Amino acid sequence: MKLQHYKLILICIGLVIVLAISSLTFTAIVPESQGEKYSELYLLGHQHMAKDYPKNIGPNQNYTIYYDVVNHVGAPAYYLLYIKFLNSSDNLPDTTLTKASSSKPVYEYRFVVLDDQTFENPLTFSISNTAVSNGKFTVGNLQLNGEDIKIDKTALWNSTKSEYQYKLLFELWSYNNISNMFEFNNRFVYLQLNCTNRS
Amino acid sequence: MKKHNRILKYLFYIMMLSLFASICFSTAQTNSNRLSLDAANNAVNHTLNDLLDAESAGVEVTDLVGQLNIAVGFLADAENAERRGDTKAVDTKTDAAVSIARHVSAVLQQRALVKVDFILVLLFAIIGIVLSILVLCVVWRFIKHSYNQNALIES
Repeated sequence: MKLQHYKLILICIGLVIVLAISSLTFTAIVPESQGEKYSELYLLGHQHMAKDYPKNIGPNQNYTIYYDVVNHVGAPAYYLLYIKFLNSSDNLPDTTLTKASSSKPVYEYRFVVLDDQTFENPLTFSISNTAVSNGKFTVGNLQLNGEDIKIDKTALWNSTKSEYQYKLLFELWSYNNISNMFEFNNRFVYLQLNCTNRS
Repeated sequence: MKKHNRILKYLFYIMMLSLFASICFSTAQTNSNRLSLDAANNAVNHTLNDLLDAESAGVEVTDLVGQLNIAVGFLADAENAERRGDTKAVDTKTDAAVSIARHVSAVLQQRALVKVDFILVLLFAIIGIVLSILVLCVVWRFIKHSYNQNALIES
């Protein structure tokens, strides 16, 4: 082998080393692109499936569902899940304006979720102290995971659907570490409930 | 009759005073609850900011997220207790939340490793490249020297 060949081989090795170190440095300095950042919120039925959700509910009966929150924001996220009990005249959140429902929450859950992880918790609920009078249905108390909450929520008879309609709304809020405040995440789900006075 | 009226008058004053005192007490209790909730929220938010900084600097935080989840769970319990007017539970839960959040902050400080600055990475890269070129130059000189010697022996 000629001396020029050795020179060529060494130049090639040198170039490969320089390129390897440069690319490693580049990946260490430039943060990796994380794509779209978002969070998921969904409910599952009592069998851990997206079916068999409670619909027709009566007093003093337990109904179990699961709420799941998935973090895709590229860092650990601190979430606040508001639970609201609405009747048909209460407003749902407005996703076009990123505005939460104006109804007051009856309960809240808080949790921190690592990136690309799912947080799941069961929620058992029931209603009690129900009453029907003058075409109005009143739910006196709501029990969430064994905690009794006084709500006194009234719904009017829906003649087109022949039911007293309520919604169990789940609203996802997330902590913004720049403003140090929770902000509505524009994610919500709800259970449409038809309440009856029969157990 | 006059004495009877006087007694009724005193009773009325006492009732008004006790009503005023109970209103003051409940307002003070509500304010005190809100203050302790705000303090607990601040403590948890502060710890969370520390955790986010540590995580982006490469510190392992998985186990601490589990502990922080216990703290934020207590905080949610305290907020729910305030909603139903259980003032005693608010204090107990906020104390627990603050205590865990402070513990997590202390562990994070212990784990705070030297953050690898990008200038440091760049410096190491330049040193690596220069060293590689120097080694290749030495190898080149060695090969050239032995090639020339072989050429001399053959001639």
